[in-house]
Amino acid sequence: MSAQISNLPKGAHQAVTSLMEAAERIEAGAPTGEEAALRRRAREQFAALGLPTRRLEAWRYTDLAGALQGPLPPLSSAQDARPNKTIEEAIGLFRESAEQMCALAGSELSATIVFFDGRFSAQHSDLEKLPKSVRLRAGYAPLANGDIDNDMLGSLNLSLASDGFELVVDPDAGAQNFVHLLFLSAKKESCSMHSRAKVRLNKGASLKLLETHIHKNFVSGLQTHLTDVAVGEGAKLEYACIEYNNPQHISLARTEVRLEQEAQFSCTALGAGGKLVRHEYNILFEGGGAKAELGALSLAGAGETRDVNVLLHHKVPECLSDTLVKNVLTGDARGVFQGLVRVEPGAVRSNGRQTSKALLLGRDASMNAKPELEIFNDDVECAHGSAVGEIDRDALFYLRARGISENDARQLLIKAFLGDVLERIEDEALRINTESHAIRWMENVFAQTQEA
Amino acid sequence: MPPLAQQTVDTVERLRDERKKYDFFTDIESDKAPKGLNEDIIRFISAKKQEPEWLLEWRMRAYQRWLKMSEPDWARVAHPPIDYQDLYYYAAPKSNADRPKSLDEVDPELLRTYEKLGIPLAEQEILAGVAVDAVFDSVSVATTFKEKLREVGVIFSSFSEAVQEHPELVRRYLGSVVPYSDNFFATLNSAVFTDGSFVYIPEGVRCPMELSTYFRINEANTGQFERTLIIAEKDSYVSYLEGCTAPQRDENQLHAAVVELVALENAEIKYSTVQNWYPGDAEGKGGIYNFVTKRGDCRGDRSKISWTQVETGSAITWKYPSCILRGDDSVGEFYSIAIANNRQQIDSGTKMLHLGKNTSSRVISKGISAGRSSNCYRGLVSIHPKAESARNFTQCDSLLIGDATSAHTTPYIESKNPSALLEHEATTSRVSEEQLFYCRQRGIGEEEAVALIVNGFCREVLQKLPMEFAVEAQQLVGISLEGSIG
Repeated sequence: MSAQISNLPKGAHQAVTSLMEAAERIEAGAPTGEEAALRRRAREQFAALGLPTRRLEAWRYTDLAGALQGPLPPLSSAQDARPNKTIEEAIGLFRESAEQMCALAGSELSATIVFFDGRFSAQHSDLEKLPKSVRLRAGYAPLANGDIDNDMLGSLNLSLASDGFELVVDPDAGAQNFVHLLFLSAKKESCSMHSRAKVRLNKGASLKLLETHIHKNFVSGLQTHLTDVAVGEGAKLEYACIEYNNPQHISLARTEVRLEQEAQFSCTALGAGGKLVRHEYNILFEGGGAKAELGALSLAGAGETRDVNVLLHHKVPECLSDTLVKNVLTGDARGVFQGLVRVEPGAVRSNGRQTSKALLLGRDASMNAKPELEIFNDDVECAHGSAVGEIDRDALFYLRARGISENDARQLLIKAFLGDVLERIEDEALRINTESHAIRWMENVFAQTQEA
Repeated sequence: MPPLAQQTVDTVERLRDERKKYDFFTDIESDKAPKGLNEDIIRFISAKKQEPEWLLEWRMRAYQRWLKMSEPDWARVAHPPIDYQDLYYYAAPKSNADRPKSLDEVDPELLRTYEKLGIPLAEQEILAGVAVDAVFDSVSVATTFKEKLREVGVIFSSFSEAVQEHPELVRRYLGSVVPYSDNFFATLNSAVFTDGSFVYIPEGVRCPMELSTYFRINEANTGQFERTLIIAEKDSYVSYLEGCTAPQRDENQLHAAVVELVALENAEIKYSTVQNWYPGDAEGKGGIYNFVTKRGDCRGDRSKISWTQVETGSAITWKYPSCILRGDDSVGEFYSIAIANNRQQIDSGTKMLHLGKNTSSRVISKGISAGRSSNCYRGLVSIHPKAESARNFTQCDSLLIGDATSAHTTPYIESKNPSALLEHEATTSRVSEEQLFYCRQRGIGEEEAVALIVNGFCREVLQKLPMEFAVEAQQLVGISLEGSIG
């Protein structure tokens, strides 16, 4: 064990030790020698790296070791997930509300795939509703022999991941309606979940994907989730991600996207709550003329930290990237944004836009933003902007002068602030669904402040 | 054009016509300490300067601290390791022993050097009322206009003179903005600094002229460690100009200066720099390494510190003029033009630390990269929890010329107060074919066209420079980009 790990504070040390022990068990129980070797390499890499400290540039604003408080044994198949009645109801409720919202938009759900406590639940999923050209294999972790050198999250996840899914869309095929991936958890004791997913769109394919993570009842847990997305030539992926977390929940996620020629990727993520939630997006342009739009909306309250990390890597000519990251922070919430647009020497006629905005509603809320540009050729157009502040007093006054109550005026302005990101969702069903979640969060916040 | 401006223009014209004339060095026998750095060298420097015991102790503390530090590696610059034991830490022109009383007594060799550089020392009195405290190889040689300044109570002298004549002021303010333990290069400077400038503006005084110092690096392998300290008392104002050139040398020269500014209540300090040290040849061989720590402390309420810089020289520029906005309603400004050509590397920016209420800061940075250079803006805007209603606006634009160059922007934006408003904008663009074609069509030569476009790009900053500098800087922008097209 590296010196880095043995020097950790007690809570983090217990957490890491429990994770490492579990990794050894998983490695010993690996079905093939190949997998065992892969797991071992990942485990050793993680042991060598330890937890990231704030001395690492990518983690300078987020203290992971400080957030971990005690052992986090991964949920194994032995502790089989058995949803109780309340959870059954919750699953039904979320599915129903998604369906309702689709109906409002004149669309419908093509299928819902449910993961409960980090496990695929065949019982609650309706895979049969998927069109034939969309092939989904759930209930296993698609381990890839990826590059995990110097990658804490990648190696930790690879050594422990036990569940997840793989989704492949055939060439020139697709689903008209969106596929819903629902992740729910309800563990009351400290534990962790580690999953991996792979999404592959072949040439000319298209897909709409909604991913919902509900961890409202997941107390003091850790979740790591890695998604590997490949969008083939001329293919189009529309992605929306919604997550709701318990204020004690810790989540580390990464979405790695590779775009081939003329591929299109749009992603809108809405995340609320969590003690420490960090989402990394690595978007790599590998074929010319590809386009990526990323919108991330983070909502956080007292004691919560949300960290969004974005890399847009323009390796080939004529690609377009557009990133919009917004934070709404109440109480003493902390928001972090680190974004980098890197344009390689050959990537001529690249276009990169990056905007980060934060609305600070709490007296002790804080925001740290670092929008970076790294440009290695002169034929590019890149820009970034960042703004941090409270609700515009002039706008508030304008509304108040028109007889709108302070409370309503504030809500209206916050809605407008959120709207920028949500408007980017092309599919109406997706947009309505996401919007309703954002508005519910905001109303909750207001209800709480009213009570207080 | 007023006659004074015309003279400046003429001087600059002469300068521009002969860029080659920067490529010389004067052969004056140096009075220098042996190579290397140890406690004895520091004692030697301190003794040479006849410094009081407390200053020697301060140097020693810095040196002990420095021994435990390591060179920072976060900046986007690459250079072979610097051997700190292979440098000279003290060199003074020999003629320093008996200081000249007037310009006539100055070593003619030295005067010729200035003349070649186009620094019209003899014309100072006519030229715009600028008093020059010229630093030649770390020791001030001539100071003019002292009398006039003394009349209003302004102290403008070399640092070593100030140590002798105003030890109480130096002791009170030295290291109060940049402590000796601040960073690797500032700490090194604290241990071995040889000279620099000292300015003290008494309460209520508006300094009657622009203060200016020309820095020159001459001796090969001589580390240049300047220390500048400017104190503006309540309700005072001063504008300070600093400009530099250096002759061609094959070996890299290290420059680690420290500049400290203190602005008390209602005071304003305007600090302008034109830096045109030798950038190395087209292959990047032989340029100056410039690792500078510049920081201003707006200590009093309603005080203001404004940094303006035009960085065109040096092989490596590592420089972040900063403002600590401590007093309520204090203002910090940073206007910068950074031009990198050939193999130059620039990692520069600013830090605006908002501590007081209603503090505001403005950052305008224009980076131009050409050839195979690398140009990085690195800035921090930090709003502390007590900085109610603080305000920041940052704009950093990059202009790229050529496909082998690179431009980077790394801003850190940290807000801990919701009532603060921070805005940051950055763009990256290039000198387009269309713009060039337009100029060429109108009979403007290619290089002139580039200079024209670039001057337009950085106009916002050029306008912030005092007039004499603005003209010079405009020419420099053009000269620096020679050979970047075609």
